[in-house]
Parts: sequence; C-alpha cells; structure tokens
Amino acid sequence: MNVNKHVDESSQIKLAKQGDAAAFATLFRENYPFLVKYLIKITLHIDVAEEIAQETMARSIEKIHLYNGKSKFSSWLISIATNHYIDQLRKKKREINWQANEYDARGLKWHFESRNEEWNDALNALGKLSEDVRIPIILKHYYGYSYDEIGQMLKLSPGTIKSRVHNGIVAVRKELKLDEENKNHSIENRSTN
Amino acid sequence: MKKTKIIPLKTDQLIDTKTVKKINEGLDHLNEIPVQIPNQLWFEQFVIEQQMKARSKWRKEVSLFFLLALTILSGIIYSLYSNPIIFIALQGLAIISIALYFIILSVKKVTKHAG
Repeated sequence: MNVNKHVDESSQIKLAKQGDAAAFATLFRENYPFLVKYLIKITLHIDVAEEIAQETMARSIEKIHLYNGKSKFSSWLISIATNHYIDQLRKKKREINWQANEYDARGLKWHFESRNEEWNDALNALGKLSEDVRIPIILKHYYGYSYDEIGQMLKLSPGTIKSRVHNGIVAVRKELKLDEENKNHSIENRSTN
Repeated sequence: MKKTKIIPLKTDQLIDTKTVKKINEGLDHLNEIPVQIPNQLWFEQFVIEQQMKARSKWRKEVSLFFLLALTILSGIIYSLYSNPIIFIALQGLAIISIALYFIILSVKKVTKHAG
C-alpha cells in the first residue's frame, strides 16, 4: 500500500513539475494536515501555523524544479516551512520584542484550557526555548530525523544541531525539575532499603 | 571549596530519556487540535493563483533586467563615441570596484574565522 502511495506521489510530482495545478492540489491536500501539525508544534500557535503553511505551499510551487526526490515530499515541505518560519522570525524580531513568543505559547495554552483539556508542562518548557533550539529537538526526537538531515534542512552543521539538541534537553530537564525528582526518588529508595 | 555534585552517566541518560518522553507526550497532545483541510478545488485555485503571481513576477523581473541592461549599454556606447576618456575612466572604475569588493569579502572571511 505504501509502495502504491509512493508511486502515486512520484507521478503527481512529475505532473506538478510540468505545472499541473490538479497534481499540485492533490499533493498539498495529502500533506496539509502533516504540515500544519508540524508547524503548530514548532510555532506553538495555530494561526501562525496555518499562515506559514499557505506561504510554504506558495514557495514550493516556485521551487518545485529544485525538488530532487531524495527525501519524502513531506520532508521537503517541512524543510521549506522551517526556513520560512525562521526568516519570518528574524524579520519580526527587528520590529517586535521577544514577548510576542511568550504570548503565542499562552494563546495555545488558552486554547486547551477553554476546551477543558489538560495543558502539558513539557510544552510550557519547550515554549520557553528559542526556536533555534526548539526546532532541532522536535525534528530529532519527535519526527526521528538524523542530525545530518536536520543539518541539511536548517543549513547548519550536524555538530551544531547535536549541541543545540543537547542544550535544549538540559534546559527542559531543569524546567521540569526532573533532576530533583530523580534525586528525591533515590533518597526515598535508600530510606526504604 | 564548593563541592560539585556528580551525577553518574547512566542516571543522566535515564533523565534525558524521561525528558524526551515528556516532550513527545506534550507534542502528541498538540495532534488533538483539529486541522481543517480545504477541499481539492480550493487547493487548485490556490495553485493557479500562485502560478499566475509567479509568472507576472518573472515578467516584471525580466523587463527590469532588460531595461537596466539597455540603459547601461547605451550609456557605455554613448561615452565610447562621444568621450573616450570617460569610457576608459568608467572601465578603470569598474575594475577597481570589483577588486575592492573581493578584497573586502576576503578580509571579512578572515575576521570571521579569527573571531
């Protein structure tokens, strides 16, 4: 079934490269939920995620001739989306102060609370990280990309990605106070023994 | 002297695994947010619109390029026939500007690597 899907996708890509609007539309419709969900995770904002998703599709129409088929189409899309989001942030950082990001995370938290759903502390901790650190963590540990692949996506060396992921995990660990929790557990274990 | 706390490597890795697990649980939570997928027609219209925008952008850029090239070329040809000294001076200025550009670029690279 996956093989059929892949064949379908590659034939759609061939047609899209020839400028076929229906083929593009099929590719986008199939990858849209994946793209938006990925963008929600890195932006922590629903509206921004939908906006970047549309801009990503527009960019991919212009850049389709550069897609070489080495990676999945969805991976290529999230690579464009990530770079576009980083570019946007750099532009906006000149205009708006850093508090905007804090507000974004609060907005998503409010979305969950308004639906009486539980908000996760790990997301809070993740939201406090800069996007330079947050994005590599999500790509590595949630989506399972290798350091090399993330490096190619973000145009950085795999070593830089590795150190950013490590530093990010340490920061989340501190924020979640997991070291203290672990210490308390070991004290409890020793006292019961 | 202040004592530094040393955590064994195994415990450290265990906490890291726990941290990643918590992060992934949190991110899984975000998948519950409903995503509204527009229909095929919307996507097709979006693509056609973007293709038209890209085409008009390309046309504008090409026209601007030809207009600029034509202006520069006419200027150069005019100076060559009306005032050859200005033409030679312009050629010299162009060579110096290119050389300066590459010198500044290499200096910047050296300072970046040294920094």
